[in-house]
Parts: sequence; structure tokens; C-alpha cells
Amino acid sequence: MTPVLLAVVDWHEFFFMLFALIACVFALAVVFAANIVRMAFYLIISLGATAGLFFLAGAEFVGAMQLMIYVGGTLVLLIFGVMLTAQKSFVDLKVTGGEWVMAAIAGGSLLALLLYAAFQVEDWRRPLTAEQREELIVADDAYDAAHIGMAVLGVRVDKARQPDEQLQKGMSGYLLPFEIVSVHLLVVLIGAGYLARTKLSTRGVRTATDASRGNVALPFTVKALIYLGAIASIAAGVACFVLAGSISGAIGLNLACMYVVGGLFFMNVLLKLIVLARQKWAVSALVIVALLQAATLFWGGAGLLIAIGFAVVALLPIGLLIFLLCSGQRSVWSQME
Amino acid sequence: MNLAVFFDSVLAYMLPGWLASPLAYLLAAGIHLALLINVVAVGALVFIWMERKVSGRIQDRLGPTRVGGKFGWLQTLADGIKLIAKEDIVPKDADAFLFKLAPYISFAASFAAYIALPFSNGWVADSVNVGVFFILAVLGLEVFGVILAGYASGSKWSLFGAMREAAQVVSYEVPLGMCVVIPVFICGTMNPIAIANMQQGWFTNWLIFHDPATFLVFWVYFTCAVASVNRAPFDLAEAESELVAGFHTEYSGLRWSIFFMAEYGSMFLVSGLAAILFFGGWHGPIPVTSIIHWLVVDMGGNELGWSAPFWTWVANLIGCINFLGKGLLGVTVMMWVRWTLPRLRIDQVMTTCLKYCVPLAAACFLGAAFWTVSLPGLTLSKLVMLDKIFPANTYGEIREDWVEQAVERERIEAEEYGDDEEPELEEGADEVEVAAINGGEL
Amino acid sequence: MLLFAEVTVTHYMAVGAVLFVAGVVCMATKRNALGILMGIELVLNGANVNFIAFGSEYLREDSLGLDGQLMALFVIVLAAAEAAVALAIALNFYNNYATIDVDRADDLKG
Repeated sequence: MTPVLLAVVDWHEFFFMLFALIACVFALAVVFAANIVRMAFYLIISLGATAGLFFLAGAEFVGAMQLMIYVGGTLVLLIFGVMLTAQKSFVDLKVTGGEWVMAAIAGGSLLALLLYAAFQVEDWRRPLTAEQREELIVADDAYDAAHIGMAVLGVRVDKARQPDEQLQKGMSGYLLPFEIVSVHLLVVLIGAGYLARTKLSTRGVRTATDASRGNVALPFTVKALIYLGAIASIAAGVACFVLAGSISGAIGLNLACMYVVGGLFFMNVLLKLIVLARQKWAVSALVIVALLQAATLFWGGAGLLIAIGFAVVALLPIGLLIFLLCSGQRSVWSQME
Repeated sequence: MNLAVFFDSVLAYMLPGWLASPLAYLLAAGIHLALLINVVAVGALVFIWMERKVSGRIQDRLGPTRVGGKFGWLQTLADGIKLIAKEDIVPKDADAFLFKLAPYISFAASFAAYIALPFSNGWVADSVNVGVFFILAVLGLEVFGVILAGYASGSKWSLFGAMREAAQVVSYEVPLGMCVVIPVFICGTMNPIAIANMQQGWFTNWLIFHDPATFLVFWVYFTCAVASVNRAPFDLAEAESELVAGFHTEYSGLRWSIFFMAEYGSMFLVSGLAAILFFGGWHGPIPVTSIIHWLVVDMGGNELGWSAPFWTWVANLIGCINFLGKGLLGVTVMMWVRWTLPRLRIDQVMTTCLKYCVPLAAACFLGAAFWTVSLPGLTLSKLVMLDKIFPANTYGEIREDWVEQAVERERIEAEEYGDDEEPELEEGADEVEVAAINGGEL
Repeated sequence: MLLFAEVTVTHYMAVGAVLFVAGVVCMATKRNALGILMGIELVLNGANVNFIAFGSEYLREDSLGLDGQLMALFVIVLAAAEAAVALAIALNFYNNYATIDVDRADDLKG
């Protein structure tokens, strides 16, 4: 039984042409449209057709990701932006004729270059032969989400499929980029949320409450204490790093522990500078850092007495600082941020 | 036996070969397409009638009782005829092209997700490997129809309603995705057929009874699904007393009914997805497939001329009816909730999403992951010793074992290819075992 | 003619090239800041089409395999992140200058 209907049209070719035409035509429509809302709409269709192209090429997971993240997320965001800024005068911003000519020349030459490069390589113009196609159907299923998931966790389970030995050695997992991208997304989430927050419209009007918050000058004693403490911390930190070997040998400490304590001394300096910038949280962080240093010493092998002694010595100046900040009728502490 | 093959064998007697084959395929495709469209269209019809009856009973009245007999069966049909006959109004300030296009985009997104939704073992339009993800992704496209409708109506009330609804739908996609990922990683695959088949057997195999976190996650999923399809109590964007009627204020007649077909289609879709992910899909409280298998094969039914494919088809049909029943139950609960709870304000909707659903879903994610990794093979039914009465079948055991099997397969492959890199991480599906489980996968 | 031949990598590269060039022209000519952002999205999609084409088993015997798909995945994620930040910047600009026309952003002009 021969499925005539299925053979008369090469369905892969037909759907590729359909999706490719839609993607290209609507991408060009984005360029030539003047109305910003229509542009966004055409972009949605173009990216949806691109997702169809991804499905056709066998990248199902990436196609679904394109639909969910790009079309369903990024473009909704774009549409929100368009709606928020689409006042009557900004909906149709026209471009002058001269700019069109320059853009046409630049775009046209770039397109010619890219197409020439695409058609140049003979290997890329050769489709799969019939027996390669047979092999494809008989062999394993295509790459699915499990393979991608394991690759992202660092294990390339498709290593066995790579025939070339040299290339096989170079196939590595993608764990590091995955972690970097995760942290990157977190940073972008916080940053974009902060950038786009609604600000109170009291620009340029500094009221009395504004003046008293954040503008308070720290008294001289506090500043002197902080500077002295910073100098002492820098000296202690440098001593930790330079004399790490001898100190750890003398007391019997872990070498790594000395480095950690030295690093914490430097962090101490940074926190003191932040206290100078009148942030309240830095003061609590100073206390925590001192306790951390004591804990590191204890874990590194110093005795309990030494660790407690260190903590007491480190916390004394911080205690003095807090006392100075909180004293007085109108204390500095209440005016810090 | 394939429907197309069946038609071909029938038509081959009447028509010449070159005409019979394409005609057979077209007929088979047409029937499948008609079935799928009818789930949405006739489903919308039934759901609207059910909504009016359910709301009537909850409000201590009867609902439609006149058209088509004592229960008003044909009321929706009469409504449909009225809607078609209405005047087609396009407001003067509206962007006519986008205004007319918007309902179809909404409906297309809602209907396209049915491509990957299986109704029984192997009864799916296209068995997409990342099916669950695909369904979620396409459901998220429905918001474009809403935004376009709101913008193109040319009235600021529509725009406000559309923006609020878009913000709500997009925000609730986040906890929805997190809730969906939990059954996915318990089963190790995104293929909905495989996920449902792993819950074969008695109801104790259902994923909702796998661990307490998954049980909790089902309720979070249900809340997020109700919010995602803009049903009460999250329907301030389209309610009659808010912003006139939100984004579909200017829509009347057939265009409005297409919006509502999209909404009821989405409701059934998320209920069906919940059935597959948490309630075993087409595998019921009672293991019908095993019973039929035992009756037909073990009791020697073959001698009476019963053929195995026919009985598999019967088992699949019962499974399909089971699945439709579960979806219907989900939709009924959504309607029940609508007419019981008061509507939430937009800030309350956002608070629910960001302060309650997201942390709860994330905590349940951690809980379910911890349970699966540190207590593998332990389900709630084993905990309460219920599996002496309702034994977990081998598929349930395979699901609990896929971690070890994946590691084992990696070890074997590594030995074969002389790879000295040892796989430390074991989360991944084993496609050999998956293919073995869902024997009906296309 | 190439139009009726079997689909090869060259076909996908042609589509990628058209998307890329459309994006570049969009970035160059649009005065609306959000129009420029749309150009950026088109450029990234053109590159993604190329990656997927080279990573597809159906088009080439020795394809990139998973590497192509994973690169496209990372590009999608990073493009979403960058669109969010760019939109926040554009909104801030609109809030401060009451215009979204980038030709009017010339405070720092020499």
C-alpha cells in the first residue's frame, strides 16, 4: 500500500518553505512598518514561525523554549513596553529618505555577503543521501530533553554518537555556562526590577525629611575610630597573608584558615567604608565578620581560648563604635539609612 | 490497527488503488481532526450549559429548563444561533484588522495545545517528546489574543482589562511551570503518555499520592491553572462588574463566542493536564487494562476469536472515557469554585501569585526532590501499608528505579566506548525503558 | 533550482541571513527605542536559526548535535535577560524625558 498523497508532496520541504516564508516576510514587515504596535505583532508571528523551523530541524526542546521564553515572555514584555509608551505622537515615527538609502545599501551588502557565504561551501549544499536517511530512521530516537538536561548538568550522554575520536574528546558538559546563566538571570531580575520601579514624583523637591536622612555628618570621634580600625584591619590582613606560613607553623593552624582570616580582614575594611557611607547594615555585618573570623580560627585548629580571645579583642572596638553611634539625644544611628 | 489502513482496505474494493490510498488517509485525518475539534467546540457547548446549571443550583435556582426538554439541553445551541445572528459591530476607533484577528489568535493558541494532549495510550495527535513543556508554552500564547483585543478595541477600559489580564496570566505561568516540573522529574520524562503510563494500576500509583509535597503541589497547580485561564476568583479582567467587561467589551456575537470557546478549551486542557500529571491520566482507580488483559489473554479468550488489538482498543476506549471524566470533573470543580468564592482584586491576585504560590511551589519542589532522592521507591501507599491491598505494579517500580537504571546504562555505555569520564549525576530518562513502557507511542 | 530541491543547511542559513539583516536594518533605521529592541531580537533569532541548522541531524551527517541546540538555548535565555534590562532602560528614559524617540537622547552630545 503506497501512501500516494504522502509521497506526492515532500512534506518536510513544504513546511520548511511555509515557515521560512512566514519568518522572512514578517521580519521584513517589521522593518518596513511604521506603527509600533503592528511591528510588535509582526515580530511575534516571525518568531513563532522561527519556532516552527526549530521543530522541523529536530530541536523540539529548543523550539518549545523559543515559544515559551521568547514569544510568551520576551515579546509580552515588549508589548507591555509598547503599550506604556505608545502615545499618539510616538506610535508612528517616520524615518527620513536619506537614512533609508543608507540602510538599504548597508543591509543589502550584508545580505549579499551572508548569502554568498551560505552558498559557497559545497558540504552545506548537500542533503542527506538515501541510505543516511534510512540509517536515521532505524537508529535511536532524536535528541530529547533528557539529553539536553544531562548535558547541562555536565554529562554528555551523546558522546558515544560522535564518530570522530578527536571531536569526541572535546565534547564537554555545559555546567559552568548553566550556573553562570542562572546567576546572570538572578542579577538581571533584581536589576530590571530595581530600574523599572515606580519612583515618587518628588524630583527636585528636597523636603525636611530628605535632608535629615542620609545627609547626617558622622561625628569626629566616630570617623577617627573607623579610620583607625580600617588601618589596623589592613595591617592585620597584610600580616595574615605575608606571615601565613610562620604564624600557622607557630600556633599550629591550617594554612588555608590564615588566608580566610586575612580575606575577612580586608572585608572588614570594606564594611567600615560602607559604615562611613551611613548604612546601618554594615555595622551588623562587622559583628558577623568578627565572629566568622573567630569561628575560622577555631575550625583551623587554634584552641577554643585563642578563638574566644580573638573574638573579644575584635569585638571591643566594634562595641565602642556602636556605643558612639547610638549615644546622644539625636543619635547618629537613627539617621543612618 | 490504524484507521487509515482500515479505510484503505475497505476502499480498495470499490476504487482503484491510486485513488483509494490518498482518500483513505484524508478520511482518517478528517475523522481525527473532527474528533479533536469537537472536544473543544462541543465541549464548550456542554460546559456553558453545565455552567448555567451548576451556577443555578448553587444559587438555589434551576437554570435553563425550557429549550430541549426538562433540563434545557439545547439552550446553548439556541444561544449559539442567537450569537451568530447578531449584528457584527466594529467600533469606529478600533484597529479593524487586529480587532477581527484577536479572537482567532486566542482560540488558535488554546486549540494548538491539544496537539500534544493524549486522550489515551497512543491516542494523541502528535506524540511530542517534550509534550508537557509544549502544552505550557502554547498556552502562554493565549495572552496575545487578549492584549490585541484590548488594544485594538480602541477603548481605554478594554486596554486596562487586557493589561491586567496579561499581567496576571504571565505572572501565574511561573508557579504553574514549577508545579508541572515536579511530576516531570519524578517520572523522568516530559512525554505525557509516558508520565501517565507510569501511573498504571490502582489509584495508589497516582502521582498525587507519591509524596506529601506532590499532594500539596496539585492544589497549588489547580490554583495557578484557575488563575491562568482567568476563571473566578481570578476573573477581574473579564467580569461583568469590572471595567465594563474587560478586554471583550466591544466584542459581540460570534467573535465573543470564539473567545469563550478558547476559555473553555483552556479550562478543559489544564484539567486534562492535571489528570495526566497527578491522577494517572486514563488509568483509573481500577486497573481496567490489567483486568481486560487477564480476562482476554490469561483466560484464553483467544480461542473464542477475540483478537488482542481489538481488546487493546477497547481498553484504550475505556481509558479515554476515564480521562474525559477526570477532565470534566476538573472543569466542574472550577465552576463550583467560581460560584462559591468572591472575586479577588488585582493586587490580591498578584500577592497570591508572588507571595503564596511561588514560594509554596518552590518549597514543594525541594520537598519532592528530597523525597525522591533520599527515599527512592517510597510512596505514600507504601508508607501506610496500603500496597498490600493495592499492589504497586512493575511500572510504578520502574518509575522509582529510573535513577539507578540511568546510571547503569551510562556505566555500560562508558565501558563500551572506553570513556573514562564517569557520570556523577543521574537525573535523566532512559529512552529504552520509556519506549518499553509506552508501547503505543507513535 | 534550489527552491524545489531538498532542504539543506544552506536553506536554513539563507533564512538566518534574512532575519539577521532585517534585524540590523531595523536597529539602524528605527527611531523608536522599542523598534531598536525588536531589531536586536531579530538578530539573535537569525543567529539561533544558524546554530540549530548546524546542530540538526536531519540536515547533515556530521552535525554539531547537541552543541548547536545548547548554544541556541543559551542565546534565547540571554536574549530574554537583555530584553528585560533594555526595556527597563527605555522605560526610565521615557519617564524622564517624556519621549521614546532616540534621536532626542542627545544630552551628552559633544
